[in-house]
Amino acid sequence: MNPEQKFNALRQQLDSLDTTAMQTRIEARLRLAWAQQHSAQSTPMDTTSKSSWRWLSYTLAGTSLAGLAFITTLATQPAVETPTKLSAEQTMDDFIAANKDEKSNSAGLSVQEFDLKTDDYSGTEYTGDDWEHDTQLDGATINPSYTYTANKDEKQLFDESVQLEIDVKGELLDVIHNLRNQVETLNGYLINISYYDTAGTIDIQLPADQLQTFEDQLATVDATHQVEVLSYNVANVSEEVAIIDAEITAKQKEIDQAKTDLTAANLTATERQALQDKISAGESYIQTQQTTKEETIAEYSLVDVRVTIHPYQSWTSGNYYQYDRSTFTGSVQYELGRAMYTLIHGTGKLARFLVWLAVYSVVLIPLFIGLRWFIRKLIRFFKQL
Amino acid sequence: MTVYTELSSHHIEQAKTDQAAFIELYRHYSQRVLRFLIARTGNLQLAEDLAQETFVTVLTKLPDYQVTGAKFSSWLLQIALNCARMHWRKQSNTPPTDLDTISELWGNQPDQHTAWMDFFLAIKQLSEEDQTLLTLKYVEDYSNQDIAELLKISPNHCGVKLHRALQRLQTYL
Repeated sequence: MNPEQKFNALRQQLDSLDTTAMQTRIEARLRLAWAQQHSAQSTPMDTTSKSSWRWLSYTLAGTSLAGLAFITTLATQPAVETPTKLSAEQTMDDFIAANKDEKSNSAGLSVQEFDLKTDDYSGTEYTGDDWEHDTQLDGATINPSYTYTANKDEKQLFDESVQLEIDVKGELLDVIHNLRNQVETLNGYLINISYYDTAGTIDIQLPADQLQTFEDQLATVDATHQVEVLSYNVANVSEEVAIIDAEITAKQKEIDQAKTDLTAANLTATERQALQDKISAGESYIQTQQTTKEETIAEYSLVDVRVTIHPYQSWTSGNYYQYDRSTFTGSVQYELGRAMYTLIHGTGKLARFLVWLAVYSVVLIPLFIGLRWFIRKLIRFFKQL
Repeated sequence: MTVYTELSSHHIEQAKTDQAAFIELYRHYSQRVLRFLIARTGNLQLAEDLAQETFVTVLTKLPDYQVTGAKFSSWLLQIALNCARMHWRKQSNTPPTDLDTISELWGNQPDQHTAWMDFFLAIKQLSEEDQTLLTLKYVEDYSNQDIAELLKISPNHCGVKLHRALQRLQTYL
């Protein structure tokens, strides 16, 4: 028999085959399946057909993508720069007026009133231990950044200044106001605030041991939690105090000599008066020098800090220059940032919207499809268990 | 020779929502599906399981079915074919036929059992597409046009493929 004849014979056998029992069994199972399916469809979730749900999900996904693209288009709208110095000044006035009732702590050291402890310094002879005492400045306790003891080799006094820069999100004025409060908390002094449209600077003096704390606080304010140190200068100025010390010592010797001379019996009244005047003048001079010394030490125990505050600019705002192009990752970030900047600043709203829509579609749709496939696989796996 | 007819589109629409109409649809097409699957699998038990799976799938997909003028049986056999493919994909070691099926079909001709076993083995040597083509043509008595529609190929190409499939089968016999 050739194949066709074989198939014909097979067909005849199939025609004669009684499949009634099989059909009956299948029919019984189908009735059950029908009942199950239609009882499931009677629940509120399944009243809509599968096709409708599919279209609903497509519509929702499409709307979400369009919404996402729309929001991104608005969010990445290039900012219009307005040179409104006048309004900025007005805002600063408001800022100052709003804070006028607060305790003023903004005087610099040049006009700062000192309230030194009389027990420590007035009229008493200098001892090495006295330099270790806390100096009371305008009610604030300062812990000096120097060590100055009787041993000459350990006399160290530093003049420190540092320039810091931070990028912040939100209103600059609010940030400046917060920084001002922090400076007061750290027993520092506000010297000057300059604010203009695109940046602000705040000059302060801080106890040296509080500098690190202040930097940490600045880092929390910074948008990237990184404080940029623009400059840091340290100069050893111990010599200034050493010179004053030498002058005091020399003057003390002169006073001692005058006091010794005063004990001589053959002095005339005029000579005695001259010696007493010399002693008084010498003591007055020592007192003045000691005060100067305390002021000098107090001044150098504070660090001059200038904080420059800029509004934070993301890479979409053109700040893609921050990336290091010498590395592969940095180059990719740089090129991406440049492309996005060009897109945002070089095209119209509709074009930006369409590009964002395309970007989200290309990225999110395969992601969702993959996720759906994975979930289905997972469900199938657990069902098989 | 059995002559098969198609149900009206009205009846198919009714079967989407009415259980009695659906059962009637099943009764109308079940023998045809079973014949196709028995010929295609050479296994009665497997054919029954696949037929059941086919009609459960039909039950699920019927609400989405749109009457377009194409034969309903073509859509039905397409589902049956997919179910068979899914089965072979999961269990590729399914035997080409079983002795129970042979003895059920040719119980009164014991001397023919070996010959039919060889025939089924020869069919299994063919590609999946060749097997489907030959089954549809010579068991289901489909025209080249219907087969082409079902397998999404042109009728002329279908004729050529059938001719080649027969030649290949001949070499295995």
